[in-house]
Amino acid sequence: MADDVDSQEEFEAKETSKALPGGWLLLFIGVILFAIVYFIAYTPAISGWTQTGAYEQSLHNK
Amino acid sequence: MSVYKMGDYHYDNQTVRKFIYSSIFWGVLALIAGVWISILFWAPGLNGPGWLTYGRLRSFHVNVMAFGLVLGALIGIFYYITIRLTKRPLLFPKIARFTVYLFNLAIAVGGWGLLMGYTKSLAYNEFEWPASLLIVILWVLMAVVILGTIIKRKEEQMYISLWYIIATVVTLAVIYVVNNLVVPAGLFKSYPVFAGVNGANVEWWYGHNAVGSELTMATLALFYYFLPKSTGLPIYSHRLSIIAFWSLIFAYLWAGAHHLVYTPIPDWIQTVAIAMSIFLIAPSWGSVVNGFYTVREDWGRMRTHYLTKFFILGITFYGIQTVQGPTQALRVVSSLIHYTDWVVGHVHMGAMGWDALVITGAIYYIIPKIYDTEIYSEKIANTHFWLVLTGQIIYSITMWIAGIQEGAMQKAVNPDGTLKYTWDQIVAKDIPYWQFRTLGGVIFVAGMLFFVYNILMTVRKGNALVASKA
Amino acid sequence: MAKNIYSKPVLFTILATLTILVGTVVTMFVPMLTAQMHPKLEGLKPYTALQLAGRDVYQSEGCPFCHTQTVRPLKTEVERYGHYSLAGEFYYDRPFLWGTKRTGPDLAREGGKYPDSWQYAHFEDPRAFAPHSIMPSFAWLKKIKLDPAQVETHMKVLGFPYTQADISALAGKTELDALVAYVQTLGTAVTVKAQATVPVTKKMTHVPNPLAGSHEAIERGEKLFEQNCQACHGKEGVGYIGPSLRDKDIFLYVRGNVPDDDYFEIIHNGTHPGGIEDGRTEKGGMPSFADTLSNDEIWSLVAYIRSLQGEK
Repeated sequence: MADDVDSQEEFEAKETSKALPGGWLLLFIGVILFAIVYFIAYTPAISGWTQTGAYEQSLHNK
Repeated sequence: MSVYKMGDYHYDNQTVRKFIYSSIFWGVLALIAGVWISILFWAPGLNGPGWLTYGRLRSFHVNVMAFGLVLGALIGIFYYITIRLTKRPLLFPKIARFTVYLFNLAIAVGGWGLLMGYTKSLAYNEFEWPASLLIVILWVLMAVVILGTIIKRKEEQMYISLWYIIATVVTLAVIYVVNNLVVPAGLFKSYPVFAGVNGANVEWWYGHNAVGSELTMATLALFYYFLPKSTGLPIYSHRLSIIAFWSLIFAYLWAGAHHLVYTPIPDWIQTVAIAMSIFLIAPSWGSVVNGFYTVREDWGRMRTHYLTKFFILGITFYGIQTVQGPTQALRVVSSLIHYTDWVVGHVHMGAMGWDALVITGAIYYIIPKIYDTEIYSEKIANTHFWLVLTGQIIYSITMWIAGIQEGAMQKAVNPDGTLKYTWDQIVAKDIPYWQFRTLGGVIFVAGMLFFVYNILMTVRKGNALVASKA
Repeated sequence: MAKNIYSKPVLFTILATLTILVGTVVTMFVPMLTAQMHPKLEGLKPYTALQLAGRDVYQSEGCPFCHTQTVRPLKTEVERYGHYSLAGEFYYDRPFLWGTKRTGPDLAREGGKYPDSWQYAHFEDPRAFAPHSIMPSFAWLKKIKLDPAQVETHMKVLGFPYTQADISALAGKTELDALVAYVQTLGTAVTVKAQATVPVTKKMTHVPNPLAGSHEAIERGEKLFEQNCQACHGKEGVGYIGPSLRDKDIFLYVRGNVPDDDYFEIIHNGTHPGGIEDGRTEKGGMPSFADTLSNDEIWSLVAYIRSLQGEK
């Protein structure tokens, strides 16, 4: 347990080009798609949705 | 391997130690304040006048925790990591030592001020301007030391932890300075230059990213350093680290307004913030996956290397946190749980589950290293681990249930459209949850006291060792 | 590995800084330069010296930790508090005090909801009004006097208009006086307008209390009275902040018996200063209990109040 400086090899495997795990890549693409759809759906300048408009509408819905 | 020997770090190590001890001191005060204010929730008669009232102790708890415990520990640990990854002592060791004293002065002035009622009333940035000014000077000096040391490094490649350290240094500098643009109106009173909805937008750009830099980027710097160190296993994927890093620091700064969903700030700013919050799940989980895949090489180390579980459980709570947070940003979820105890549970899972485990794990690693010895007691460290884990889980789950109940009762209507519950009825239903929360907090603090004892005994052992060698 | 940004710290730092600035510029800096972030409601007034001093106390004592000041545009929220918050209401708020948590109710529409005397009594003993309230007592603020010179400095820094008379009027005022003055302004730029449009009702036919004289209703009414009314109208309705309810011949400071359904309406709607009901002019100050009590509960209360007046 001597206290000394570190070598990079301790931290990263020699093979640094390990592929991205497939599940994670799917998640990465998935959240980008979700973000785009959400942005379009709830931006007043694009979809016309506004929070006060949604409130007014909720008054008419039972 | 290197031209430097351990002796070269002696002075720097002392600075690291002083930061860690200072932060533990402030942390204990903030923890006690935390347990006490949790009691005030079900025993309001215990509120006293002046600094004994909930409103003042609450801001003391949050700000001394965030700036006294977490920031202090982080600066000390940043110094420690930077020296070792750059293979050289700190560039300006005297300035680094000076930052310890500056740090303690800033927290003392700020914390005392909050108890006196001197507050800016900006969340996570409540210290009045003299303390904030000291923190700005502290941060600039620390940045000079750390960036200077990195520029003058003896190792060509910068390891991931250094990326996160640099990102923390610049992000916190930018947001802290902007959100502290105030006009002083006396020694302990100021008014921000930003007003109304604009002030709200600036504040939550700050607030979200104060958490994002201090409790996320900085803690990830620790995680990427101490996980391989404590397990002896190299990080799984360099490529994943790169993508996760850049997408995290890019997206974080867009997401602040998810704290302002359904407020009068423009709809589009809220929408962008919510969309970016959802995106943030991916880079956050990049680190989670990287951590799990690293230890997947040999899960046995969870048992054989006592610190591994601190970092793996820590990153697990970070993983839950970073799904929960973005989900809370969604309008439909926000409308139910915003302004309730759910969010309190969320914040405390992050602080008590992720940050506390990683920071105490790092300190367990550092202190024996500095003394070239072993930890005083692994058994006590394990007791600490299980207590803080139990305390945190009781705390978080209790508050999630309370929060959903509050949200549902506030929204409940009778068949004729009138509200079903009065505010008093909602509060009455909360009392048992608040009592349970105190139980969780007490268990957590007991665990932290085991930690403090373990560190103190290690230091004692280390000092005896140093004396015997001399 | 070849030379890359991970071996060039200066370049790396610049790139990291630019990366964090993109979102900063788009969502924070650019909007700040546009009018949408600086709206001002017509008729909104800057704080007076006393109100500002109260706002400072509100900050010092950490009130925003438990009370928000923004009503969301959601059905049940508007039902509970009143009109949802508008961007233009906060023009003079430095800092904004929207808060993050509702341990107590939202206060965005608190101004004018209760008379000053209610606010004082509530600050001193919150549990007298809501038995489960966990709000600390702020009676101790009565002992702390304002410093007029300090308040004047604060007014100057914020650039709010004031006269020397305003400042000298602060002498002798306490922090509690200031706090009450501030709380009474909350949301009034919106609510005052809304009140002016409340129609004044006058009707000739009266509905009797369907529960009149029922023992069960009177007992139930007594409990409800203790929980909801006693804090203002005193034990058994002898009067305190609100008027005595025991004398049916002089009720609401006006001579003459008031029919049952008027009692019902007063409890249900609250009273608004200057409102006229069946020829009576209301003094105001009574909050509406429409959200708190069901119709049956209100009739039970009327039955109980009648029993206090000796009408079995």
